[in-house]
Amino acid sequence: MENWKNSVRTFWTAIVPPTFWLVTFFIIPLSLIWLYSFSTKTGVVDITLDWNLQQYMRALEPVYLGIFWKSIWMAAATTFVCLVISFPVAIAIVFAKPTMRMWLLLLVILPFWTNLLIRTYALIAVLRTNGFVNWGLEWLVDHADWALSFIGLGDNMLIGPFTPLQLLYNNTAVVIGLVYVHLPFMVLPLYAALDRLDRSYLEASLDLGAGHTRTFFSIVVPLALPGIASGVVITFIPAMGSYLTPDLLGGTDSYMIANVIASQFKQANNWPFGAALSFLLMYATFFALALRAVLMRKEGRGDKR
Amino acid sequence: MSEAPIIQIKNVSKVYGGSVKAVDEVDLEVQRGEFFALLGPSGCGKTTLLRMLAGFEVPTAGQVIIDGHDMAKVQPNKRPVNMVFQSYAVFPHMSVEQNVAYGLKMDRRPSGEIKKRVAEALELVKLGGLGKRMPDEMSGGQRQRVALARALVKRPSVLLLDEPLSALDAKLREAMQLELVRLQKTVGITFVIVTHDQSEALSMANRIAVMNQGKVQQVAPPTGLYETPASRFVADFIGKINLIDATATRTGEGEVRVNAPKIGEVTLKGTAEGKVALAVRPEKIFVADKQPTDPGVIAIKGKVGEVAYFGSYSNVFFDIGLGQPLQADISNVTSDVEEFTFKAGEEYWIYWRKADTLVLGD
Repeated sequence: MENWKNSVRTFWTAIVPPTFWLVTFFIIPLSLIWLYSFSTKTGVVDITLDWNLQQYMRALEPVYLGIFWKSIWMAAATTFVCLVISFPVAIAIVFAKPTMRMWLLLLVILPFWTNLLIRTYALIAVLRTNGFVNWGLEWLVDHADWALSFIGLGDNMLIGPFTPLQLLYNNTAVVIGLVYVHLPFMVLPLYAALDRLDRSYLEASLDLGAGHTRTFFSIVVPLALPGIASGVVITFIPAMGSYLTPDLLGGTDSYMIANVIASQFKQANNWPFGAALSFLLMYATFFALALRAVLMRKEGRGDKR
Repeated sequence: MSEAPIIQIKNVSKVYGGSVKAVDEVDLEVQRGEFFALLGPSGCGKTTLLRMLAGFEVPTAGQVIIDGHDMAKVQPNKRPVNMVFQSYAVFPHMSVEQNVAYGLKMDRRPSGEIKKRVAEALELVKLGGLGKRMPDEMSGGQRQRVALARALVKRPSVLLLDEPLSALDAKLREAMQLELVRLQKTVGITFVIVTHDQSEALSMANRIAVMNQGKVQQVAPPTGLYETPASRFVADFIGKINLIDATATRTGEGEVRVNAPKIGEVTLKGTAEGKVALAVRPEKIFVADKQPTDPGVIAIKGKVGEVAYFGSYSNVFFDIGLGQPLQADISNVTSDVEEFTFKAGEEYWIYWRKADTLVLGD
């Protein structure tokens, strides 16, 4: 095959469209927002670029820092729950029969193909006071009570009457929603990492006298660390910036940073402040990515054979 | 060696997917302190059998007894065996020392003892002083030594080796063969090695089980396997051999009358009857200009075909008027090239002793 360096035309044909795309739809709009973050709002639609740091100073006020902190916390909780759920799922897929593996992976990806809004409303139908979870619990309580009535403990003497659980419009609901949305982001990199893992490492560990739990923590986790790091980062970053889930499932105190940004751009019509908040979120993202790069370099050894 | 066998495999079968018989009613015994080889072509079930000893496969039927204990319900991590994997499986995120110490830590040995035994094990495999290295800083041969040390440090009753030399280059492989024999003599642990390489098995093992299609064909010491193979398969699998289709009828105790094309009727030692193969090893064939008069030999006229020169001997193919040629390894005993040069088309008498002729059934 011809080296692209020798064929100028091939080189330009290959490089121009993606460059154009990146510049027009990513770099230019982002630069505009970046400039807004150093500007001042001077009228209803007028914004003057005067290179001041007021917007950033305001963004660092306790009320917004609190929301930032809350977003980080919610994203971290989401990431942690995703990791705990995904590990057994990924292991099950890796150890499934090759024919089954494809279908299981499809099941993990399937929700992706449904609109996020629809999925979130579906989750509302599941979690609301007269939703499916509460129905199920009510059915259980009623029947348990009915069963207890045979030994003379019925009529809500031991359990019930059933009061519906308040599952929606709080932080837990937001984390449940975020976990649901982001689970594939965690399962897939974990699956990829575990699939690459040579089975004989696991067998060697068992052979040397380690039980399954020891093997998991001493061999599987360290060797899957690059995959875990990838999963954590690509779950954490979008979770931190999520807007729709806290908007629909959260209560009044479940505001995350993206909701504040949206309200600044929309209701408050304060683009410079919204821009500054956006860029703070972006800096946090860069920080997370840098952290991952450092981690990966340290653990790069695990990837080699 | 007079005690009970360390490994007893009783009527063991392994069936995959309801129909594929990987291991088919195998009976084997391995004695204490033996260097035992499972030899066979790929897919013959030897690795499955080894993995059943380690506990990674569960027999469909039959019984595996190690050191007097039935292994049916014993998990791999509780068995008195350790394995050296084909890929070595040296943990890449642990140093050499940590790798070797892993098994002892699992046994909760005191740290002083672990340190001492790890150092001894590394010394044993000639890796003393390399304990702090990471596996990716080592060569394939060194990593294999780590795998050996890691298994031996646990002082298992049996060491299982799954094609341990297949990933090494030829020179290293030969050195490692001698090394393994030395190690086995030093530690006195029973070794069970799986290999598809006959020279590996012949040069290292005390006894060899030849397997084919899930069944054990023959269990014998190397010399027995080579000189008195039990079947056509074993004869063909171990070393080079000439096989001539023939028919045989029993004429007496351990004696058969064989009728073979071009050779005619000869009475030979053997037990196989009906359709048989007359078999003779190439190095047991001699060449003469005149018909030999010794009644103890089988002689036949042949025309020189292809000749391959190997330095110490030449591998000469003689056309004897049958479908396939007869090959003979002729020692090049003089340095007079003219003396041992065979030219294509030349006619010779080729002969071998009746005592060196095998009558093999299928």
